[in-house]
Amino acid sequence: MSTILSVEHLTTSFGTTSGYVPAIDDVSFHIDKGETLGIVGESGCGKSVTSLSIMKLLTANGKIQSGSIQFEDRDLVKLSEADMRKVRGNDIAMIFQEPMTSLNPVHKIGKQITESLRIHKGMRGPAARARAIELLNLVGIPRAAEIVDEYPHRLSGGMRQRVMIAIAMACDPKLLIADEPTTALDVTIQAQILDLMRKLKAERQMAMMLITHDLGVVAEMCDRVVVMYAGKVVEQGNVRDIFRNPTHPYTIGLLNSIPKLDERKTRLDSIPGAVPSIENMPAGCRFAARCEHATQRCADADPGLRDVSGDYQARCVLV
Amino acid sequence: MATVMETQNGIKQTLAYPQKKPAPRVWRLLKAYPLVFLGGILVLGLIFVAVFAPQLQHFNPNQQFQNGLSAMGGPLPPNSTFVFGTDDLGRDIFSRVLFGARVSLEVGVFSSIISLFIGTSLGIISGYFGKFVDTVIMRLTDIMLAFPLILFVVALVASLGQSITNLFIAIGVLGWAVTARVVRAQVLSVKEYEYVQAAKALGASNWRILTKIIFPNIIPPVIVLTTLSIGNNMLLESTLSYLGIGVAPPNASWGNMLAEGQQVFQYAPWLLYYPGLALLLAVLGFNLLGDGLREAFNPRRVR
Repeated sequence: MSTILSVEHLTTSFGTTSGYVPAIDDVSFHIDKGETLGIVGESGCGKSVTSLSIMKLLTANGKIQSGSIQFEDRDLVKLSEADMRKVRGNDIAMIFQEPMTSLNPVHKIGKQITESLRIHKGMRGPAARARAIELLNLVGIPRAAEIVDEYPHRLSGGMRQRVMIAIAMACDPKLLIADEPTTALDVTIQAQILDLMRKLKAERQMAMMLITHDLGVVAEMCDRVVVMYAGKVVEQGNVRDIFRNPTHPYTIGLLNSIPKLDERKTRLDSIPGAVPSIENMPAGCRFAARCEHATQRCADADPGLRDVSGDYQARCVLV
Repeated sequence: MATVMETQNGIKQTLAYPQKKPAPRVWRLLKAYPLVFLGGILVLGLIFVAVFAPQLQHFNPNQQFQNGLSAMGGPLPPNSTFVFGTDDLGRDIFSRVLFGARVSLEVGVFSSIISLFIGTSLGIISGYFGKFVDTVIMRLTDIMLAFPLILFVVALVASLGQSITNLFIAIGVLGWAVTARVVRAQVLSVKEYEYVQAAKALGASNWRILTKIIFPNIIPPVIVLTTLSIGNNMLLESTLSYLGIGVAPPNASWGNMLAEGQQVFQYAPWLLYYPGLALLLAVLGFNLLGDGLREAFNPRRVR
């Protein structure tokens, strides 16, 4: 299958009082056409920075320092702001975590759905309205013809996330970046939204990058997984390989911390310790301080990504 | 009290919630925001008087009437011919108050539009782009606020020449600082919402985000501020006319009527009563409307 997005050695830093510190360091991965890639890791490991780097929507003090982001035949890192605007919303669309604040309270739903059509395709008037209704139907919103003229405050969280998906779908993007799309929703609505996303992805042959810390969502939705820890990719491979035979102690720890139905426990498993501070990264393996298998070798040098098998790599000396 | 309703097949059913006929919308709003209505009535009255001044006038406001002076040559108190009395030149105060409303409203509204435009533009740019631009604009705002506005306006009118147009240009061009501050603060909070980020992710340009995403979200405070500023600018116009740099005599303005009346108020106080009362009601109207609108737009208010 052909690759649609290929991120190579991406390093993004943020300016702080003590100079530029990298939030993600030498991150490489790729997404094939029609594939769903999951990016998992705990809070602060660089998942969102990775997605914002791809969209080039970093805050003013963030900077892509090195690496390339190859999207189809263009390197997004080298694209000007004006050219980048043509990519956003048109080729690559994004869904955010908070459906409650992602919709503008002063505009009607229909207007917000057609925003990208107006920006990128110059669509106006009745044609845009018809398309908005069509999109609302597509994401399974009942009474689409009425909802199109409603303001966001009249919709529930799940409905709003559907509207956000409709907005993202408006220009038929080739890649959809979903940054924790279901975190703010309750479990039954989560399942509905994930079903909807899976259905749309299959219908439109769209690639998807799903950022989450919910391994259940990953198992459900993804073809391949990238596990990130402290700004680095620690393990990547086929979703089945990673769930059946996790290699990196961090991934093993993550999988162990999910409660299981057939076990009775008073305390859930967790990984001891905390993520090292961004300004104070250890020279060797960044997980060494929390790892039960760590030796002096781990603290001395970063082991680098090592091949476990074909398309499966892990950053650990145990491999 | 439960309401009993008969369904189609004749079964009587008690409704869980008694259906009370809701009060008319206007009445509910009136009850919720009485100040808006009081202010609104005063403001509408002022607009009516200003627009129809030529139709409402009894006499030409600048004409000096022979029969408008007493035998001693002094002003006449209110009587059946001159309902508000006359001034010491024998002019009809009623007509002059009507035309004073025109001047006040004109200066108040146009100067506020000018300062609204400048203040909103600078405030949005300052708040959205931040950094260096923000520093420059906000220090400029500090400078504007540090100077007494009236002194600035006097200097500018003096150099531009005395006319109503120059008056509202001067007030408008110099009075934007508070608007800029308020708008900037609003933009700073609105721009952090995820929908601004979402609009960027759709490929919207800075211009589009400023005008279509952020601006509609800051309209309520801007409306309140503009309403209050119309009242303030009317007062400023009167002050300037009172000092003799606003509306030039013989044309009527509440300010210069007060200045003229002051000289004879010991034996003809009606020269002060009517323009003073008009000014009071007009400014009060705009302030009540502004305060009331602020209440009405306040999302934390329990309705």
